[in-house]
Amino acid sequence: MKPVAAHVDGKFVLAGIAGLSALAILSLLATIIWMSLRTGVPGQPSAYTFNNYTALLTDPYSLRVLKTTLFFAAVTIGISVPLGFIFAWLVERTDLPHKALAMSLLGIGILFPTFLKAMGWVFLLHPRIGVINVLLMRLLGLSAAPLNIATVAGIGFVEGLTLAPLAYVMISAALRGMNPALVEASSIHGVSRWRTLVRVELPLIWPALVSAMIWMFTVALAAFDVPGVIGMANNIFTFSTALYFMINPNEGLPRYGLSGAYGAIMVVFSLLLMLPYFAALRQSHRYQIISGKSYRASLIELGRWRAAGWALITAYFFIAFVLPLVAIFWVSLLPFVQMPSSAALAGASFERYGAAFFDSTLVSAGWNTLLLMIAVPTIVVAASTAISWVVTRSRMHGRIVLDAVAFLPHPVPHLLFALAIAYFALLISDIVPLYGSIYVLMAVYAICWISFGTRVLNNSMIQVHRELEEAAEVGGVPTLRIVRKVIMPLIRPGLVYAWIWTSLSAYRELTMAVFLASPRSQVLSTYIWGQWHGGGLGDAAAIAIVMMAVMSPLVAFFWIFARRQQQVVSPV
Amino acid sequence: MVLRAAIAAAFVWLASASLLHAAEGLQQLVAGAAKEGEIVFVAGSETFGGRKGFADLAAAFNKKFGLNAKINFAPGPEMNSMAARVITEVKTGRASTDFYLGSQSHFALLHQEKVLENVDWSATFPWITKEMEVLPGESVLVYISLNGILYNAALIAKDKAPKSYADLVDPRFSPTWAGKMAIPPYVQWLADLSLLWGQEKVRDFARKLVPLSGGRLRYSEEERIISGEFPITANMGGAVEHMWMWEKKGAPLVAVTGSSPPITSYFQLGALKKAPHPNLAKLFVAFMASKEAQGLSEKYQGRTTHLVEGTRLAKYLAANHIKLQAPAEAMAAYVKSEGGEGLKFKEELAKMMKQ
Repeated sequence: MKPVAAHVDGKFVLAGIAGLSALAILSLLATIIWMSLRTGVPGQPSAYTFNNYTALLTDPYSLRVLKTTLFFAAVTIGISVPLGFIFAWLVERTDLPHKALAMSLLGIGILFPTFLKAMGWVFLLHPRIGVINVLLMRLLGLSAAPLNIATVAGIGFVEGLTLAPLAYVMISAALRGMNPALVEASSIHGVSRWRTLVRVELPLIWPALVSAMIWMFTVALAAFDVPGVIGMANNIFTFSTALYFMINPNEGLPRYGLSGAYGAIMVVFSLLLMLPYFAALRQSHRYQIISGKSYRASLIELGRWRAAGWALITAYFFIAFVLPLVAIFWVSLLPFVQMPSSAALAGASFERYGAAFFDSTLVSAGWNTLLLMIAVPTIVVAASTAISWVVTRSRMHGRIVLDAVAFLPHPVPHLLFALAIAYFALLISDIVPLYGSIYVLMAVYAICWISFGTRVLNNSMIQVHRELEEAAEVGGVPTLRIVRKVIMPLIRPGLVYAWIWTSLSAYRELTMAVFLASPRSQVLSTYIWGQWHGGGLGDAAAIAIVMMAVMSPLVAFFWIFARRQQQVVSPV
Repeated sequence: MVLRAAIAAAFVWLASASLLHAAEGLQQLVAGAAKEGEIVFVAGSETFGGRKGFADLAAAFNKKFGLNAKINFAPGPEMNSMAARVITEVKTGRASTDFYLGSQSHFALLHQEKVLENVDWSATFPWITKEMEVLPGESVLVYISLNGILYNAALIAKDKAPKSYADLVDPRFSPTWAGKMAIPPYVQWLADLSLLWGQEKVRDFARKLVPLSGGRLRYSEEERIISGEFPITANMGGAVEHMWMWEKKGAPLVAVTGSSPPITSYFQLGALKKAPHPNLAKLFVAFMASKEAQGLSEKYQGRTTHLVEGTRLAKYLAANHIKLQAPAEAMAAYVKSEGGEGLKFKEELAKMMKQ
């Protein structure tokens, strides 16, 4: 009798965790809609109204923000997807030497926070203080700067550069799973490599390219880091930075209702985008093959183009990662921002670093970041395991709906979840003092990254044969024990992979944190943002370098570990 | 004779009674503060000299009151955003900062939303005068700042530099900074200017100013003028103090008070209702108006109030024969201008600035 009761309880626990996670996601989305129908600050009486929508749709500023956001997203896609495709093609389809090193160089870019690189780009390509611009003007005798990062295109360029490795990961998975027989056939019939690439390979991976484009679009739609660092001072506002100023206005009170209306429209827009995304994914699966390990298309010999391939990857690494870092480091040494010169060098010192090491707020931000890096992935993996078990292993009613709800945080811009949880925490702050605490950040990170966790774990669990579980069930083993002793050891690579990537995401996250962090819950990213936004450019640069230096060994360890696991788990 | 003596005695008794009462009030605050242990203050990253400034302020504060309190200074949003945030927080639960720093516009909002703690500052703290209570019973003046144009002298030659706000839009000078000039994202300075120029002239000025701008700079971002990202900003709160501060580091920053009399911001501190550490909050607010704190404020951010004897600003105003309005009068005029017409005018300016 006892084992049966335990068996039922186990299922109940897993379904309960899954249900609670889904409820949290749906509640936050409902909060956005609810916010949009109210006026005033949370907790104050307000009648339900559509005024926020009317105000939003009749304000020419909203239209300008929409146009800017769309252009920014287009440039982001235009940079990231072609670069990602070239890198993926070089790594997956050619005989490029030292591929592991190439993959590592591309991967490092994903690991370090985007906003730090954006800070570096201000000092590199700003029309007046950009070192590259000044050098070009001196060399070519130009009267005006040839390049300008302080434009919508410039911001899109930086975002695109930082997202290229992500596009590479997505496209390389498609290239790896592509049917090599068609490429071989083309080759046998004497079609040139170039024509094969254009006529055979590109059409085969076209659905993957489309899904990568849509993914990049949703990321750009919600991106706060680059538009915040470069755009704000230059009067360029995208969706996320405009929303930021609705909650943190220059004058007057926060406009939660208006931001809710903005959010509600974006939720609908994002969900609509998912239709072509899923269509593209379905198409891409049609072209995939299941084959033995030995059945892979022969690699294209690059010959003398090998050097060109490596030059491109090295140039990317240098431009997207090394140059911005060097620029930040230079600024961190100076009493105020100056062009490189012997006079500026004479005034350089490590004074800011000394102050940073004794800054108790910075230390506490570091601890908070570490706490999130441990707690968030643990919660995400636990909740995702429960959801994935219900979706892939159980026969419970509504499991398909549960899977769809778990996926919802992916297309919806994460900052909307942050906005909703801030509003919710404010509403209940008299009863539960959660507002401004680190737990609010923890909760919203976990909710938003459940979509990632469930994608990885669904893939892993589906591969575990049901017979093993059934045998344990027949033997009277309770469900929780089966999950712990049978399923989890078998999907361990997936669990570790999801844990590590979520942990790294917690380390680099700014968009959600900037909406939620308070003095009690400062994390490293928001602390640096606070310095930058408050005009302390040099201090922000010094702390950024300290953050990178302190976290680098941890990030490197995670990266090596994740890469080992990645060989077992297919990327998302 | 007896009557006079009796009246004098009554005065002495009243004075000593009020002093005794003040001392008792102060003692109670100190005793309460000792139990609280720490204080939280959220403001712009460079406020009162940022991290360095706060280390010295904390030491001086603890010495003055015989405490061992920890001062947690957290860099946060600038004053406008912070005002909005504390109003929301106080109304819905608990403030994330113990006290608030802002100028007339922010305190008018805080006063209107009733989120400030009522304290008889001048009666409780001997070094605070009635004149320093900008909003009587609610806020204390900690520094004033003279607004003005701020430019990089390495990028704009002195003969081409503006001498007043009007020069900024004068076609004879403006090509030098057209498209490169920063303007503040606030409209308050324009509303203040309208008290001198009239609304119509300010409207015309704003219409011409916005197309010449290349970006927006908040009042703590003067380093972006020094770096050359923007060679000039149309207005910066505390322009004169910024110039003094950066002079020491050899930065080529020049301030021009764009109008006569200059637009002046009266920066105040006020303790918040629902502050997590109410006693320490009151003590720290009062401390910032003391001579010790003013000395440190001058050292780290070049900002002081002219109402504390011997400060650089008091000397500067006296040397330049600049007369300022009494802070409480300026505040009252501000609160008055917040209603009806004034508010509409500000909304109109805000729309122009969005262009």
